[in-house]
Amino acid sequence: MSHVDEGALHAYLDGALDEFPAAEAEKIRTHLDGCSECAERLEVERRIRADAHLMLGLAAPAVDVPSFEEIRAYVQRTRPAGGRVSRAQRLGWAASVVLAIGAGWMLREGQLQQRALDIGQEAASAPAIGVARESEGFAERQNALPVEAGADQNLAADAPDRLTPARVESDDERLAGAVGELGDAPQEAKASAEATVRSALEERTAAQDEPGSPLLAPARLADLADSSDVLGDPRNERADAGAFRGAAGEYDSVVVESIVATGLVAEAETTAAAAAAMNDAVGRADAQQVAAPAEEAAERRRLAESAVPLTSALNTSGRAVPSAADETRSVDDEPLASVPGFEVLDVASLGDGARLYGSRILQRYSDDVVFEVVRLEPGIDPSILAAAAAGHAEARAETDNGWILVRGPLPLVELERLLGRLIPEPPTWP
Amino acid sequence: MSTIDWNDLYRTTFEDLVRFLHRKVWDTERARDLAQEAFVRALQHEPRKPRAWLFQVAANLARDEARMVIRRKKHLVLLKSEAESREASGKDPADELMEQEKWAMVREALDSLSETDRDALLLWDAGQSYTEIANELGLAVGAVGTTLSRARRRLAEAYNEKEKADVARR
Repeated sequence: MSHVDEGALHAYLDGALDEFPAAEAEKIRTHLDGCSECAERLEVERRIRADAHLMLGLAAPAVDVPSFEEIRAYVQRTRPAGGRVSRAQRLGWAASVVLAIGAGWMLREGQLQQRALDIGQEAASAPAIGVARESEGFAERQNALPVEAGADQNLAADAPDRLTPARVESDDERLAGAVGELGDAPQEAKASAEATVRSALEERTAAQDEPGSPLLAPARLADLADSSDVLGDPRNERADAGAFRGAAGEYDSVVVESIVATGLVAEAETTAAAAAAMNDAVGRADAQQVAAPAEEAAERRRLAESAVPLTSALNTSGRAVPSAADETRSVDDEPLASVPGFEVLDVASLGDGARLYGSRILQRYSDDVVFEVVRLEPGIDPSILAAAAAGHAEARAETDNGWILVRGPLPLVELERLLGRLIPEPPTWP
Repeated sequence: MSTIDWNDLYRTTFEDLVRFLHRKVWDTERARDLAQEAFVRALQHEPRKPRAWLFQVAANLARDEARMVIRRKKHLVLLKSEAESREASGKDPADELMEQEKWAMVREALDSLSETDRDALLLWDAGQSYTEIANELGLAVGAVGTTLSRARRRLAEAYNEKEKADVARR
């Protein structure tokens, strides 16, 4: 046997040879026993190993281990109703908001209707082989979405297991193809398609929680939902024309992605007006976002009332959430930014009757935990707010558009994470 | 039904996890918070291989943390609870300064490693096995030793260089 390499020497020193195949480990041991040259090298590596260990030890903090029971109690207290499915549903809701914003933007621009008309004409004359090829591309991008209603399983089976931004990026041609695939699908097909999309989104978001999951990063839907917040605030200077169009381009991707999933179903039944489907998508998301059923509204009021008042020094006036009847609202009418993935319980403006100070959004973290997001207008100092309640932590950041504060009965690290989701990436971030 | 002995896992893993995180975020309190967060998530998910899972989640949390630092590049004020803000470190300022200087040198030395080399080293130091490191970093088990040997050598070289430069500066 040739001499043992450094890797094997370190494995030997680390006592990790048992994790090697038995025959290989035995060879290494035997060689080290009889080779003086390798024995010398082993001593050199032993010193390097010890030095590195010593250096790492210099940066080892004294650790105060908190009680495990506290952590367990916290988990019990904040466990979401319905467990992980519930969380996935919340994230699915966030995705639907993004879908609505993207579709709404496109509709507002008048592009979709024009495209739908164009597509309808093109689809009628398109050769069948073209449609099939395009479908294959869509399936590839769906990374094993659940396929229902007789859609071609083989198309999805070949799908890669990772969704990357490159694969969901859209352009006009892809959108046109996707919308064309919807064709004139009947209402039942659209309903089925909706279920497929939602199921896929839920699976994807749930999978993002699992380490090792190919979906773990990038958390694209969450990132997109983050972006929606910037757009959602019409007063936000970051949402300038360039940024707006850039972000809207991203929403294109989501819209296309969802339509693609719909297309997998519709392919079998192949038929529904693309524009109608898009309008339905917008309507569904709008309804989910702003038109809560009566009992939910009552629950929201109850939770809003029971939430810790963080703005007791201020009057709250007017709900910023548009009414359910307001189906024609555009992106500019979106409610103020909230943390994606958590149910919005209440939205209110903050002011003293003469001046608008900002907004406050209550969001449900779990069954019995509500957190608050306060955005203050530029120039308004957080000191005007009442102090956070006892037992509540607060994370805050000053942005170019004023302060953002997140408060609630949650660990600081979690509030910071929530806060981070409200602050977009700096433009220089690679 | 979960068969994980969470108390035992916590007892044997928490400190390792904090050490691992500390060398990524370089803030003891933050490392402790993130380690708690990792355990909270583990309890919620009840993964099949909880120890490896914890380190993977911790690595992701540390990565998020690094992004957060960039995001909050200006004027971020974190209001810890009153008790926390009152909490004094209780250390001699001179000792604390020296400790921070050492940390800074180790940190710079670690930063000079590639991400894979650094992660392998930190995971090993936190008690992960070769198999666990291999799974975490997408390496073959046989390649872990090679990665560790390279990482250790580079760490030692980088640290010694910095120490020499520091002595020369004084």
